[in-house]
Amino acid sequence: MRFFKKEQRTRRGNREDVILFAVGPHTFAIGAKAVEKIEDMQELRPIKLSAALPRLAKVKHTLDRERQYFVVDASAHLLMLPSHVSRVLMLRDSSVAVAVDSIDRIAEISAIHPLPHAFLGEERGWYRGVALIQDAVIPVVNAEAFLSASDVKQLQAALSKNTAKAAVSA
Amino acid sequence: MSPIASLENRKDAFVLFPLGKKRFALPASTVTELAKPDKLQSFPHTTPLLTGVLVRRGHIVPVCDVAQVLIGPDAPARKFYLIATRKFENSASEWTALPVTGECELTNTPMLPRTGPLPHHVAGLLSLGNEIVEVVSLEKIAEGRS
Repeated sequence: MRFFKKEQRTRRGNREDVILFAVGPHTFAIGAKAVEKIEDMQELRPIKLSAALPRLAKVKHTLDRERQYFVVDASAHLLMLPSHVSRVLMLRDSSVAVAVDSIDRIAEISAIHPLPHAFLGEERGWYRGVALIQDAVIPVVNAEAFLSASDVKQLQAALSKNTAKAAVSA
Repeated sequence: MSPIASLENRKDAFVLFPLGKKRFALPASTVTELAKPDKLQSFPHTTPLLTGVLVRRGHIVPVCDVAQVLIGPDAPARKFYLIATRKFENSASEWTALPVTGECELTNTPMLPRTGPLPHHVAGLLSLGNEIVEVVSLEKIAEGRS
């Protein structure tokens, strides 16, 4: 599933299209502009880099397309219990993809409200804010927070190292 | 100005709120309203004491379950939300909802200074007959500075 050609993404005021997705019992939103494609899990390749990069243990798969995507498990990123992932959001102009349980729908929001000041933890980086959709408060995830550019470089280096090791032992 | 508004603006005015068998107090000037149980909405986060948010008069109001600190994990079911203004170090302020276990009461009683080894979140004490009520600093308790 491919989303929004650039010319279709003209906005009306502050309105923004978001994709609603589920992880565990919670619904989240991500800006539709941040997502290039959505795929199922069939072609994911598992990787185990938790020993080399424990901080990035949330990256559990790769997906090879025109570029290699590092697939972040959304439940691990959000410090939730493991969930039943079935879809992958491939982020636009990025080597990052996000595994989520399901895609709900696209919704148009008129505003993203700042996260209340009372939230002081890692969530300040996870979310751009919250949106009100039919009286529900939906956190809008920050697509750039899943992996930084330096995280991607570290993952690429670790993966190359693993591949080289495997070639030598073969 | 109504008599109630006049009372709320006095520095000796406090709102007493129950948590189980004990009562605590907040300065009345910080209290916005006592709200009926509302739809608590939660999402993942890592901030202690926050249990979710309410949507109240167009505001997204964080819910801070201070009962965990004030009376421990065995607090009875909370029946209402006491909504008060919390200040932050960057001079911002916002509404915060405190789940409480019953009706609240307004009192006009001078606050006595802290005495003895009281938790950091106790701003002072109110002497109400046979009862000593702790006046809670919302800022300190929410920051976990107890």
